[in-house]
Amino acid sequence: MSSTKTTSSLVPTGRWVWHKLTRPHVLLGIVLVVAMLYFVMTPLFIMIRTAVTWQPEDVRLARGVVPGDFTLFHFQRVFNSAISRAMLWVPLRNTLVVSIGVSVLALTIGSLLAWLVVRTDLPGRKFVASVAIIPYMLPSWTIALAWTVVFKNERVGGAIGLLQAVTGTQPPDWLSYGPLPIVITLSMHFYAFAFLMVSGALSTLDARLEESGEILGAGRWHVLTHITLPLVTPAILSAFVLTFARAMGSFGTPAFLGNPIRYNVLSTTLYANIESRLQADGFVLCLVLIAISMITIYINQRIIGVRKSYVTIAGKGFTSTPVRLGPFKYLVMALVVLFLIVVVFAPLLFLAYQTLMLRNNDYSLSNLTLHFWIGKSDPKIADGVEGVFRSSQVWASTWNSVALAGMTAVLTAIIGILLGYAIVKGRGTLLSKVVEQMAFLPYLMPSIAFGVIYLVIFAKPVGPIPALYGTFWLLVVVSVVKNLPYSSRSGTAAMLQVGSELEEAAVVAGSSWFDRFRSIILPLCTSGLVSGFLLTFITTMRELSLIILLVTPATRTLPTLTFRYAEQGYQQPGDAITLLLVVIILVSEWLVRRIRGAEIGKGLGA
Amino acid sequence: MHRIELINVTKRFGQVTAVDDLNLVIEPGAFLTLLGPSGCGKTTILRMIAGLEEPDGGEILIDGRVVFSRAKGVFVPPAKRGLGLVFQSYALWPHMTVFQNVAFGLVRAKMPREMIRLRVREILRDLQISEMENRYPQEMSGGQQQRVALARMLAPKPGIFLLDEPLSNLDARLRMDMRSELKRLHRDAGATAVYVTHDQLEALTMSTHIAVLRSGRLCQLDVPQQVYRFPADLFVADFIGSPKINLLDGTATYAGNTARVQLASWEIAGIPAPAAGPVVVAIRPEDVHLSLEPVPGGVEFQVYSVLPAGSETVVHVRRGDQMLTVKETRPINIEMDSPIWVTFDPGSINLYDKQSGKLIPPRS
Repeated sequence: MSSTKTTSSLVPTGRWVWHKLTRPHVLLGIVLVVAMLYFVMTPLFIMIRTAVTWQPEDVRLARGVVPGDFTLFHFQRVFNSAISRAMLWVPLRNTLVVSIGVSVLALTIGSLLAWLVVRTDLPGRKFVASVAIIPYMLPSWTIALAWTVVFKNERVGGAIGLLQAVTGTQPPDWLSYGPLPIVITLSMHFYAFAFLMVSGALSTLDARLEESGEILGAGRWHVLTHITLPLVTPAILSAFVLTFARAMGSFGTPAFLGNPIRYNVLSTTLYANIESRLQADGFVLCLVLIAISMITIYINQRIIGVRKSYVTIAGKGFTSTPVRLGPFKYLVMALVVLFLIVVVFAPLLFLAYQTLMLRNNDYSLSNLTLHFWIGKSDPKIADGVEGVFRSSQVWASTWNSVALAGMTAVLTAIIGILLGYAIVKGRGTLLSKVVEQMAFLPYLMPSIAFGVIYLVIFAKPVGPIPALYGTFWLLVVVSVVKNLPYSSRSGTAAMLQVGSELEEAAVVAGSSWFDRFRSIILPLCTSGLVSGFLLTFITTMRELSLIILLVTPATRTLPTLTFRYAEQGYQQPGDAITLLLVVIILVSEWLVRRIRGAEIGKGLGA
Repeated sequence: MHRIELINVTKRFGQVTAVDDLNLVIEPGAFLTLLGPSGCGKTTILRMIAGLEEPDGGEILIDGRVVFSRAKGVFVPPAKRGLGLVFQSYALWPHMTVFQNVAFGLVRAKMPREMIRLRVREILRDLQISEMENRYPQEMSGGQQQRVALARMLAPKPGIFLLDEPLSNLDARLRMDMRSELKRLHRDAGATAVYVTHDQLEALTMSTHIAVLRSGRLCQLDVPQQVYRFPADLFVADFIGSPKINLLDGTATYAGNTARVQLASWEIAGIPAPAAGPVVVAIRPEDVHLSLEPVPGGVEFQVYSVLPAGSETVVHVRRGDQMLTVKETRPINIEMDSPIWVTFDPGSINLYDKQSGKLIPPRS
């Protein structure tokens, strides 16, 4: 009797464990954790390991080196040696100067514009709102390229810019290159991000809070400074920190506007290190970038954590009586229009104009040509670079870009739903927390650092995965993984919106997990994910720093091709390709918006 | 007709014990209401019967078949338990038409297409929403959505109805109509129903049995009349009935088969319960009688407020700092602050032990 009892109590325990483990969200969670261990944790681990061991290329740098042994040599070299000033401290100082400058300028412009659009009677507010976010959809270095068209001086490449051609005087270096233009051009991109965040916070602000203040006798200005501003402060601070983090990781603009006068920031130094095969040193810089990034994110979490409660009170949106600008209405309107012309239309026009110039220095009408768009290869012009529409390389890159962006956006959306499912259904379990935290990790790593890690790992076969370097799939993988934080956020939000009861109703009706996923969860999530899809598509389309080190001639995308041309000093083809990219992005955004009514602001994962 | 048994069922969420060692038998054909304040574990019990939640211990049996047992490692998935469920939110799939919503379970049960059509049409006709067939849920009123949720539950002809506060999102009038309709549906289908609500009136009107729950424990399981007339403890007494029952502290002495209770400034004699020592006196508002003139045995109170509500009038009366709620069904015309005389029928009064809060069973 007793012996049968022990066996009968043992067997069910196993069955019980099996039953618990095979529940869909648990299985899915485990699969996702394993995948993320592989794609997120391993890279980080290998990078740290490389940074603290001797590398084969170090043999010539020190005596008695056994590659693979532990050493702090690389850290010492970066932090405390004859070259650390050039390698770390100066770029670090420059990075901080640029990032803080960009955050301050972009936030000021973005918040002001947000307030004007959301809270005042500015004419044409809807139009302003839709035009103001265009820079955010374009590559951040578009404006940098346009800047060089106007402000470049003879110092680099000999060709003069539009300004010099018109005025006859050469612009000084500080206006042509270096921190000032970098800060200005990056701000002209990032203000749109601040605008989206702050206007989002402003429009969900409960107008009754302001009205209560007015009823109690506070004037408009007093309400603005004592009620409105404090309430949106968390959003502003958060936008500030996130802008800082992004500006710090940006690569294209500092490369275009800093490299000519050796104004180096961390991202460009890192790139140079990797290009010259100083991998371990590059990794130490990566870790520095990641550390700064983690600190800023931590500060952001603290800000949101402490003051979030303000924003969540808002809930529903209320339309309040807009602030009347009175006699200044049209003056403000004129200034806003002027601003939009300068940041949105002028750069594109300058780029377009430049592509029509046969010789770089000649601004006369007779110099205009369509050669760089449709011309055949001519050895006398730009070493025989073909017109953009003729070049098979451009067509191939266009296809690569669209395929990469499309595939990344689709995969990201699907993985987002899966992540959301595992996180939401497992609420409160350890597994759910682990999935959520791991999916957040790529957020901490600046794009350029992330690209470097993938370069190293997938140069050779890892486990079951063959050497991906040089393949299109490597670009897809790195883009999807880098987007995990956004996709898990939007997936979680979508799943929360679907609500568990809709799925449970299907469980009771006898629907299997796959059936539920296909007929209930997926259809209900997709509408919520279209905005996220659009955002991923656009960001991947214009991505440069993440993949610049991973592309090969066969897998080149439009942004990396632009960068290559610009590096080689071919301005017109680079500008033409940038314009092509801009057109593709704007058209696809318009298409998706027409079809699904998605808005880029809604998919903003920040 | 289906019998549901819960044996020693326990469910914890982290540190919180939602259901604590519950034993409950639901007889075939019963309409059992799980009644209690929010957080008492009533919805958790329903979800465990449905199979959407797994107990941490104990067994659940349906018709003598074990559908859940941790010890035996048995877990029968919800769809194989022969039950239907209506959620509080209705949980209608917004991307499917009414027809698709109702047909969903039938399609999964591999019913032939033609039969599905007939069955869905039949059920929509029964619930008077035939013309809604091709609408989407969000294009319908709350009451209509409620009917679709019911239709979806009824379509596969389940033997057990599980209803999680299905009427709480309807307005008062619609709720009245649906109560009688639900009762009819239950009767016609010959099903066993488990109904979750926090509305004691709904529990009293709908059920054949009421289970009153508090913090995951069963306080009382009985037919509605008994639960109302003899609440098992002070919690149940306080929870059931509107307006609320009067609870007064007093000291009882027992003599000659009846108890006499000394209250703050008056006393009540002749209560047929074997009580002595500190007690709580429980008097339903409708068992208190008012009189405008002094009457023999009447205690003088002062009118505190008068709340007429058509068919009945609720009157609050005060003596010292003691307040009584009275429900008067006769037309009555009284002024606030005027004196009034109060009498009680000792036979309708329950006494509770002050210490344990349990009912002192009356002598019968």
